[in-house]
Amino acid sequence: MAQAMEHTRLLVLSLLSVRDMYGYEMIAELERRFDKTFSMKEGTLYPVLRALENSGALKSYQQETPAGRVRKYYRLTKKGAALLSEETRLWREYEKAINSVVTPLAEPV
Amino acid sequence: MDIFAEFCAEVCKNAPRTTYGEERDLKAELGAHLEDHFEALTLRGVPEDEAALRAVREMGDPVEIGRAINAELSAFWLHVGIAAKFLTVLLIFAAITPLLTKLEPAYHNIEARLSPNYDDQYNIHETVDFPCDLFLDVYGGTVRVYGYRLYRANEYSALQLECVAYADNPFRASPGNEFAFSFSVSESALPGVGAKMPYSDSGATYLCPIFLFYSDPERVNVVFEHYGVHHEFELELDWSDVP
Repeated sequence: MAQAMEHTRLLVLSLLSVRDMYGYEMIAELERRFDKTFSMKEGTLYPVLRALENSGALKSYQQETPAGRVRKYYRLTKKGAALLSEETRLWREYEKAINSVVTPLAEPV
Repeated sequence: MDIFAEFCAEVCKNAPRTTYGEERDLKAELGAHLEDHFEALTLRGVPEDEAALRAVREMGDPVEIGRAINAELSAFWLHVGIAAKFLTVLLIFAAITPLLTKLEPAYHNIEARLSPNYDDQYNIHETVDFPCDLFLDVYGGTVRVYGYRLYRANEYSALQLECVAYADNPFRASPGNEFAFSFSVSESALPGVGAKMPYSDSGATYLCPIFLFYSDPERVNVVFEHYGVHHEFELELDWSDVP
């Protein structure tokens, strides 16, 4: 769960940097973008959202749909934007490190 | 849907640090997620029963989710809740303690009626040398003679009556120990004296009028006189085992 939360945090911050979203909307968006190459248990999203909200990276507000369903939207704060930059930088470094090992091995000798 | 509600309840059960408001919001948020997913699946042509099951299954383990959410919450309100419960119990205890104190006279009163007992020394039919059971009605209560003792006191032979006085109303204090001086025995050398200390604020007053004789009378006539109330009874005294 802890490892899944680390990856999910970056994904959530990235999604919310574009626009405010609610939980299921984030899952649906991830599903659409990954096109079934990556799947996660949907419930793992909520502890991540709670942690980010507690740390001040996100703010939430409720909005009612025309159908009467109350949805909790999340918005990225300045602190969240800074966190996203830091997480992105770490991810790039990680990606670079992985590529430096994987790419030469993958090339035909 | 019931399975959605069950799932949300299971998550919240495993997140005890949530306050009432947080729990309500969490249930609403998870419930809306499940409903959205269910709706999306049914729009894709999945049958309703299967869609509901899939929506729940794809959420993951509710226990794990609940615990993970719990780890992100502050324990402050949980501790406040525990402290509040403890204080409530303490306040209830403090409130009923005076009530229990008021019940103490009633306890002694009922004990005197059922089995007279003064500091565990004078249980009727147990430690009294010669048990008897006589009930003398007085105004507002009863004087119960539940036994007597025979012993030597210097040059005298002594008869000690074991009595207890209690009020008719169990919640009222017992009549005073002046009853000890209401007993008389014509054959005695000295008038009846002596009384045990009554329980404080008690529903029962234990009395022990003592009569001294120059010889060992085989039979005595005990008279009880108290403000016009008159009782008389006879006791046969067996001194053979008295050293």
